[in-house]
Amino acid sequence: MMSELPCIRFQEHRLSNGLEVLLYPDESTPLVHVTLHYRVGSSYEEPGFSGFAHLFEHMMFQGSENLQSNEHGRLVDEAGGNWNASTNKDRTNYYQTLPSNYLDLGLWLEAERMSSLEVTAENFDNQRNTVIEEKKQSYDNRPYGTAFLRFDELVYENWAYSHPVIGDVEDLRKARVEDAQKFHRTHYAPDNAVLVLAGDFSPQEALGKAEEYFGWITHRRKSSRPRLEEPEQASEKRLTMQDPLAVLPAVYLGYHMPTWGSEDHYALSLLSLILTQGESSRLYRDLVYDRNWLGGLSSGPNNYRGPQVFRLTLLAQEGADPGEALKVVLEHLDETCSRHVSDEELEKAKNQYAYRYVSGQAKASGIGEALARHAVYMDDPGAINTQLSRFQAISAEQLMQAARRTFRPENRSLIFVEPKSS
Amino acid sequence: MIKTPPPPGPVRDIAYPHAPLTCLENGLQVAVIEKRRIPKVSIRLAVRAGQAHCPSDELALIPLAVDLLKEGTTTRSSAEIADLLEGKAIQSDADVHLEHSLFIMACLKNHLGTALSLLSDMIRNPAFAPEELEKAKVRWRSDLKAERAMPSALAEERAYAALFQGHPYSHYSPTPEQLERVERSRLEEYYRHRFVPSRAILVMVGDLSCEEGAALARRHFEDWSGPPPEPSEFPDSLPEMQRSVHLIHRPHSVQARMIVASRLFERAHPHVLPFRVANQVLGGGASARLFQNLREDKGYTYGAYSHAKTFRREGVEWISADVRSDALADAVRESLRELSRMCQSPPDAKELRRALSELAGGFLFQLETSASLATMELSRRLYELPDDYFGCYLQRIRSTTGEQVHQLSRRYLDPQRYIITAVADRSRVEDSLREFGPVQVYDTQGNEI
Repeated sequence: MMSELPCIRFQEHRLSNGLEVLLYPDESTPLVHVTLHYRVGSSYEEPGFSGFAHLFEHMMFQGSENLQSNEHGRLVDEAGGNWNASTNKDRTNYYQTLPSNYLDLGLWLEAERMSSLEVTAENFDNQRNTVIEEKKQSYDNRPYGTAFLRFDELVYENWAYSHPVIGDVEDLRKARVEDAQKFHRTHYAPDNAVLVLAGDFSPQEALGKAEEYFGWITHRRKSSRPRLEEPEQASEKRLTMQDPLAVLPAVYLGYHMPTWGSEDHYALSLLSLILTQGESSRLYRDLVYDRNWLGGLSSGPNNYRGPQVFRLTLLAQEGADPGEALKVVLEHLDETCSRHVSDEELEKAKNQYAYRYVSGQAKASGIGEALARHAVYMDDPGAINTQLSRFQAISAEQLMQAARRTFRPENRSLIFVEPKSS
Repeated sequence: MIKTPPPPGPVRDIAYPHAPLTCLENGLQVAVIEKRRIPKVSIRLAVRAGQAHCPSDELALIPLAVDLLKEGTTTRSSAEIADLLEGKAIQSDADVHLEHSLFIMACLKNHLGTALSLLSDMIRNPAFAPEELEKAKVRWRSDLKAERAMPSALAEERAYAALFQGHPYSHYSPTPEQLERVERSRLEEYYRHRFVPSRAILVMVGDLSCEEGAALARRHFEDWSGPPPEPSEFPDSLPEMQRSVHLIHRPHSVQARMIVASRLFERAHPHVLPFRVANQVLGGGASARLFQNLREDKGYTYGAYSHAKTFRREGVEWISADVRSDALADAVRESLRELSRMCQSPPDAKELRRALSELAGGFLFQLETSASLATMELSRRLYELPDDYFGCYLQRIRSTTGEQVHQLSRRYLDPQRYIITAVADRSRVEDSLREFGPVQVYDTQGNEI
């Protein structure tokens, strides 16, 4: 079995304005990772305002009281660091990794945009257009991009998760500056965020600095968390769509499953490795290698905080019948419901998971992001220390039970993508 | 509430880790760095057998040989190797560089023995089975075809040809004919001759002690044998650099790929570190002169950068960008102007400070993981850099002055010594390129037209 993993020792604090502060000191390299996760993603949007959470990620680089547009990134670059941001259904994160003597800069930059973001008609309009272009480039103009957006719309009944992060162009077009300012006031508040520092610093000093840079920002109305409950699906859903950009047919399958961090989440994550990870996985060996019906495939939980979906993506090989390939895939899924996976397969999956997990801790920044994710998704950053052992404890029987609960025909949704006939 | 960006605190430097070298009796060099944070080990095995070592009419030999190592040994089939790697989650990759072939592995500590025994088996006992050779040729045929559709590869191939003019450093990709001609017996004979322990360096970084690493290396590689290497491998002399202009005609190209390049000093040259500062000012990132001029100011391109690459004997300084076809000549002219500007005066204090911080920060990031440390240590051993090369890196970067940058720029960034390579539709760009000199035109197969 694996060598012992060192426990991630971190400190947990809360400032008087509600900001949650997690400190993970690690002096092995003189770098510091400063990351802020806001509890706002597209699931927090209201109908008519889709795409706001992501649009806001763009707005956060547009300047604040003491910063010009894009100056944030430039200052981090010039300090020798790197930075980025991302939005998903459940949270928006902003981070920079800097040489550790620039810790103050990282804190000041994040406090600036939390406290005094400048939302003007001009920069709002500009970023709105950028996002509309981004949607065209990343989805509308890409093969299978539209199917990707349609997938959650088909699978989820609850609007919170069913609408896409990128939003509806009509909603984006009719958005007003006042709506944007209100969105910032509601969600970009200290009591709705987790600040994590990971790297080379003294915790006591760093806590003092967090207080100095963020402590004065006033507590605001706490935004409420969205209701994510999903009704039990009663019958299979199917959709066929034409994609003029696609060259080969594809099939997308989805099965409802429990939340992130649940027992089934761990079991089905392992099962996805057994089904589709690597050339020796079941579906790869049968459908790609032996039959040559599929050109590519992937699977796994969608990693949402609330009710999740186990996704399977099948890309057909030229000349192959995607319907036939789907039949074989369903037979494989049925088999996982009726027979235990072998000891070798389970061990292989656990080895693969352990490798990924350990590699994710190679950098302090990786640990910082994982702490923030556990804080936002489970309200328990300490869960980071039990994750690996929970995976390692899964038995073949638990895997089979999870498969039985999940891979039921009435729990299934399917999208068939047909290339435009030439 | 603070109105301006807080200044940095005092710099905390970091020592480059201790990396003792062991030399086995068969000549294999072994360097081990202990880095215990996580139970993982990164492995690099480099053999001094790269594209430049292939005979110039047999450029497929080394790429095919390296590709075939994972496709079976005398005791394991291709499928058995894949199963073993996946079963133990051992990451594995191989690649052929100009002067060496590189095998990369990474695994959890408890699978290190398996990983090394497999690596040793693949390196020492390749089967080169005829059916696997044929399959590899099929893969390579389509890869080479795909490569010839890529503007970046076409531009790079032509730039190396123009810079190194028949020298082995001009070797790039094999032709389809060279690929077809490879026979199993020749491949095997060549491999046995080139892939020998005395030409190899093994680096391990991660959750192991130096003694443990050396003992593992002995256990798995001690009985690897082969003839001693031949002395002096590459001819020394190359003609003086002067301006030439090369256009690869790629019909219907919507964009143009541009490379402006010249030859530089070798990897172990004392100017390597201070010259990095000059390169950083010129084109090392989004705040550098090329990016600011060609993208932010003129809007010719999404990004323009410069790189200094150095090898055992020579190096190259390299400006590249994908630009609008109608702006190609403007982009070349501005690139040459930026080279001249570097030669005219030292960078201002702010520019210099930015370049130094960016390079220092980048260095710290490299020290963070076992994988990047392994790559650094390997380059130190491959190019026989001084023991304190990385230990003094930050200090030497930070002490580089504007005047030094100016002097090095005058020596290495003279625009008259730069060649120009472009991949574009000739009907859109050929006339405009003539202002830089007579234009030689090629098709995408590399033939002059």
